[in-house]
Amino acid sequence: MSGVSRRTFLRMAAVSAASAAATTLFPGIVFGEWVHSDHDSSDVQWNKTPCRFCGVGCGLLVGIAGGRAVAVKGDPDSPVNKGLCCVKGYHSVQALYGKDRLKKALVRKNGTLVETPIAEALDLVANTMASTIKEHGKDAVSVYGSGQWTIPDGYVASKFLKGGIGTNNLEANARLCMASAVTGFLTSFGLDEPMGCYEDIDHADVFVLWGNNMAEMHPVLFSRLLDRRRKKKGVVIIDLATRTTRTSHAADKSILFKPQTDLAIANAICQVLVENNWVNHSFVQQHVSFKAGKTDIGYGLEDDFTFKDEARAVDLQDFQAFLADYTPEKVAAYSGVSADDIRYLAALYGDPARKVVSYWCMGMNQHTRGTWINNLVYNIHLLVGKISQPGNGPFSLTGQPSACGTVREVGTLTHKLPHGVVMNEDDRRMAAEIWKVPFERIPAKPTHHTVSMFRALDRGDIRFMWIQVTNPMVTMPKLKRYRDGAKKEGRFIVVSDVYPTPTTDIADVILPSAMWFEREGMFGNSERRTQHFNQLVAPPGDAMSDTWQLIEVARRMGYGDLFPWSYDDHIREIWREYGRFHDSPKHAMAPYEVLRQAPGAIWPFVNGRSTKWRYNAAYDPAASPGSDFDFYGKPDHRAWIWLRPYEPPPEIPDAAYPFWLNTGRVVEHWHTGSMTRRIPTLHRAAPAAYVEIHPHDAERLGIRNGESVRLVSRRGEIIVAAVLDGRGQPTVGQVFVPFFDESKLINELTLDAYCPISKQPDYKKCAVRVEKV
Amino acid sequence: MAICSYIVYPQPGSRDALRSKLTGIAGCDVMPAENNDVMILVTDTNSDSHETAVQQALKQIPEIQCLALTFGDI
Ligand code: SF4
Repeated sequence: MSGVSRRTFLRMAAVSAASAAATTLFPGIVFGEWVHSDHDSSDVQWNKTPCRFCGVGCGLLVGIAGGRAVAVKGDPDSPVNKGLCCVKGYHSVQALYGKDRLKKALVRKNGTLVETPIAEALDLVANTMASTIKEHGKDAVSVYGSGQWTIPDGYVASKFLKGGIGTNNLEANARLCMASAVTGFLTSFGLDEPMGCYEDIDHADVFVLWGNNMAEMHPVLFSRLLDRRRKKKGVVIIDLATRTTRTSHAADKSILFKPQTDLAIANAICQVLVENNWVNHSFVQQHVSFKAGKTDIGYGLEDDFTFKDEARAVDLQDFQAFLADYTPEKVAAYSGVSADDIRYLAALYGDPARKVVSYWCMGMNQHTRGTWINNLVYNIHLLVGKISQPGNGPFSLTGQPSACGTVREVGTLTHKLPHGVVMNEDDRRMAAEIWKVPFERIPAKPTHHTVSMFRALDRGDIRFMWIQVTNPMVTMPKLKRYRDGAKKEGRFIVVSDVYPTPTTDIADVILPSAMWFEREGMFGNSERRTQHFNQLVAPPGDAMSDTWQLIEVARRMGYGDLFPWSYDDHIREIWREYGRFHDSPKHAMAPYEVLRQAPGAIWPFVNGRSTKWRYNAAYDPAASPGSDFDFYGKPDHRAWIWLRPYEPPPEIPDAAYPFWLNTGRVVEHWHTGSMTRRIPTLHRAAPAAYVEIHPHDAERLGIRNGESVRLVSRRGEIIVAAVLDGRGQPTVGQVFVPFFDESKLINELTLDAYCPISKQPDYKKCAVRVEKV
Repeated sequence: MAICSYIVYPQPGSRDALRSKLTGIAGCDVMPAENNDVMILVTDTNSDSHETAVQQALKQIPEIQCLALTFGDI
């Protein structure tokens, strides 16, 4: 590193350390401009890029000097973050420069990983994939990707697997974080992704956070909420959660509920709205249909589990009768939330003078009734007509930087195509035409969702798996089964990553990936905003983008005609081809040239403009002219209110396992920590996983702060340090463990039960025992 | 030749005065919080004597209630 860039780098590290400390001390703190700056900035070139980490999708300016990223700041031109960053964003570029960065391909030979020229490693991947198909059939190979894939990565994977090989064995880790949001949107509105955008924050009076620790998980957005409250009198933030967090402390009101009872609380809010006649009848009459689905739908614990929901038409009277079981008093008896608090929440939603936004993320999505609870929060907004308007709307936040852009929009899931689903003949014909492949090659039947895919690997139905940009050997629930399965004889695992992880530990081939702005790409964030980034620095050693790795292997397998692009133009050409799938006012994507210039664009991008509020004819060109709202995703042009009951989770605490286990993230670390644990300041701030225990439980068990305890579930156990009165405090009878620490694998304990509609596992609820060591 | 960062807590009511005093010291950059009285101070000195001078200057500012070192590369 040159003297200048080293100094600038150190200054950046110094600022990052201070901001990290300040964020810890004062959640929601916002820093302004440098007052007096004499940086050696003349040697630094600033370039825009979206942040590598969370789904907020902040715009960053990265400073490059001497071929190296040396500084980072929030992009003041980004409408997402308006120049702000969180602690991860400020430190983000340091994630490129960890000492043990993977720079060469590694191939396992006689049990040992051996450095291998990348061309040879790619040959081996292609040959093994081809021979597996020959021996076991095309459904014996699979690709498991990520919501951290760029859009081109996901698009190329889909074209290769579905249009080239002809298998639907394509999944992504967004199944573990966003699938219930997708099925929630599809069942209620017929189209995926939020109707509003972050600008809602600048108009809302009430923010209800459903199981969402925004202060740590979406910190820049939470800063915007706090800013809104500071600037507008009467703005309130309600934290509705199962544990007390930094968000609870910053909120105006913290309401704690018992795990899974959010279903009942949402219905109780609707019951109060109907009982008090706070329903917006004209909106409901014009824009809403009522549906009932199946009940007692299971939990997906068996390998051969199947489920298909059916919608039955009902009406407002049926809905009213259904809600009779959900009076505030009845729900208070098992939710832990007082009837008064339920009425208070209903009054906020029901007050026509207040604009309300509901936010949620993993609390509602990682839920064995995840689709249902998404539906139920939509029900509330639809009943009062507070939707698709500035400051009014339900807003499902996403965790990963491109869970929306790559997994949901490109459709890197077994049942999806870049437009529509494999089950639909028209969608398959569209894909075949754009991809120039025989229509018959794209299979009409989905194969495996994520849990099912790893079960198939365990059984031997899948023999080859290529894992990119994700770390399933930390994140899969009931981890032991899937780790043992992946290590079985006759399985071949390829892992593309930037650092060694527990997943590279089980790999037969490790491919070094180019990370973030070491290549060109795009991410799509929570508010339907697509953001482009240029290649700003060279990747180290033989590292290669995931997009190009896939293309190289596809070409070696004889699918070169599907990927005719040169390295120099492949991202632009992929974007243009992909755009043909969404060429309508309902989903049009911004042109490549616009994305290169702008700090992102929100789709549908029509006539040179982002569409900020979908389904509202004042903003959305796809809505029928002359209507006020048009929920055009459904054949009846109406949004659907669903009658979804409370049903308990599959495993609840009992005498042998008396505690609820909840898992999640912390602000300092990104997911499994494979990047952020290599950033010294972030690692020092949160060096190891721990278990939060309520002080009363700790006292009863004779556990003191910092002492090691053993957590045991029916599936496994780990030993971690106990934290009493830490940054979060669970309720009595509940413990919380973050999952960023690969040396303390909490997913050894979790349960692989999932929502039967979305197939998304529940990481928030299973039963454990706590033992003093 | 040191780069350090601090969280600076001003005495009540003296935030702006403190900010202008800090920015008047050669080698000091300040980033004030928008919604809090604290500020981030980065000191970047080019010699031992410069570092000593900055430390002395900081000690003489009565508006500083507390300086919390968060980073030091000496
Ligand atoms: S809030 Fe998310 S996107 Fe924004 S800087 Fe932090 S990690 Fe990056």
